[in-house]
Amino acid sequence: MNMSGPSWLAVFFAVVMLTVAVYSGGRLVASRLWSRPIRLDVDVVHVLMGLAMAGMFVRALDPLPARAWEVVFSAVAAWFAWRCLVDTSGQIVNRPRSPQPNAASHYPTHGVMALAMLYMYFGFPAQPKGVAGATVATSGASAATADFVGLPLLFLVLLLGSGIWELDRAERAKRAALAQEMPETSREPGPAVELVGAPRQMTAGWGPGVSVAAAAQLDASGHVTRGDSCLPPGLMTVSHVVMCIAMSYMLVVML
Amino acid sequence: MSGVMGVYAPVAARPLVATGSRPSARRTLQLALALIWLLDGVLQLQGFFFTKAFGSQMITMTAAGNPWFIARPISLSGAMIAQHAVLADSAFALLQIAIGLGMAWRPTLKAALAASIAWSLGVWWIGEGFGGIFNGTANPVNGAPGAVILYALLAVLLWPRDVAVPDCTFAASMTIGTRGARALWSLLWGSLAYFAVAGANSSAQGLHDLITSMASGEPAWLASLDRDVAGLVAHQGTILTTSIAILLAIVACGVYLPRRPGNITIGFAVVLALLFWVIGQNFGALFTNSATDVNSGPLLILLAAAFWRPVRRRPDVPDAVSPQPRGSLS
Repeated sequence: MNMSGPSWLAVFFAVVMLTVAVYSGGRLVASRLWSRPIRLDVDVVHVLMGLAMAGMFVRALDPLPARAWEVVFSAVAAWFAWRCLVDTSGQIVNRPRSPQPNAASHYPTHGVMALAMLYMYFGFPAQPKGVAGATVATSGASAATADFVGLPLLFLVLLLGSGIWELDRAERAKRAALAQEMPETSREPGPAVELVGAPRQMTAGWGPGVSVAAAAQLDASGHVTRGDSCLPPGLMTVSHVVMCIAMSYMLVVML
Repeated sequence: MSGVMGVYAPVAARPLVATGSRPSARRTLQLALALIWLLDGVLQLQGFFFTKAFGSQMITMTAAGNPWFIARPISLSGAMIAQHAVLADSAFALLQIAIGLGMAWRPTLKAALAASIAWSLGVWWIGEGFGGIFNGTANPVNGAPGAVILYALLAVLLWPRDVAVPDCTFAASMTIGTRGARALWSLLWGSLAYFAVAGANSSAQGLHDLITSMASGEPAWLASLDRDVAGLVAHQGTILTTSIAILLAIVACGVYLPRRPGNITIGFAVVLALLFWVIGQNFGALFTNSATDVNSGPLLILLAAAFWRPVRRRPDVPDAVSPQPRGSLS
């Protein structure tokens, strides 16, 4: 039985990952040039993961040796673990939370992604450049990880769950903006679970005056970007979902 | 760049109210179903499915023992898939990924659910030979009556409604009402009870043979677990399958009981589904590099969650009374 994936699929995913890396890199540049709001740590990590995964799919594209990537993703995992800790302890001692409303899910999600990358580097035996087809996606897991399947399965579920959650949350944020736009009288009575009861101060500036076009400028985490932003918020969500799927594919091949 | 790492730059950035909110229980179930579809799509990208063996062996194999009018289309489809293995598998994977993502993105939820029903019914026939119910090999322990039909059932039960159903007491009852949902639950679990003791399943060595056959291709620890469990159930098949059938029948009737005992039977259902998934299905054979789906265990658990009756009388907010645009929520 053929345990590996087809090479053309690996090339396809490599191109997609490079596109994500370039897009995220572009966001970083654009945010600096035009002072656009971005989530810096996410975009930096997406650039790194995009490059690293492209190299995993097609080894010739790998800009760094595996050891260097292991160091990089160890640092990334440590960073997000630290941010989780700070965020959680802030909640415990009743300090103001991170200004990011979805920090509770954003930090662990990217921490898990970094750990999954580490697992893939540790699980896949290092191959010299130029070895035909010697990528994670075309040759499967090493003998050391062949029987160690619980962790990749866990990563798989968490990553795909994260992609699903992100898609739903982006749409919820958009709907919430539209609902805010509705006049009070047009809201039907009933337990409006997703809106009623939200602190009014959080909606400052987002009352009936907000336009549909402006609402559409919400990014995946519910923050508002300028109406003329050159950083389409939906693409950030798409990048995350695509990255989760690509990483899941690699993990499936390694199962 | 203004702002520090991990923090939004302050320029024109404000948090919005709904980002901290959570989806409803019903929406959470839809998202769980979406996750399973997405996982299935990624599993379909495994190397084995791009080979001729997928069509000529895996698909064609399901025709064996079925009546000719069921077997013939399976054989034809298997041959066609084998001839165009790469194209066919790419399309299958893409469709399943699209269904998963479509369920997660609310504007395409209904389309994705409809597609999932159509796809499930097709695969139930062509890919699973109706779960072996016509050739006497159906056994709930290893996934009968076919995991894929459970996707269709869940899609029906979780279909978004624009009009509130007055008597809904659990998430699954919001689409077709409490009576209809209970009838479907009883039909499913009642059929599982029947198949547990049907044919050779209730023989003294039936359960032993089934579990032993699962060990092939699994990681060493799982194969070892299979062998150990098979040893424990050797020659105990009749009494064990009868006990399983009785438990399944209790679960089938449990939805008609009052809330508390009813929920206890839902708990039984979850335990049984977990046991089936681990022992009889080896986690859906995910570790064999030839699994197309997660098998029935997780889907039965998801179904059980949809029938769980919470303390409050109204488990969920009907789609139509939320402030979102009519006809487009969840």
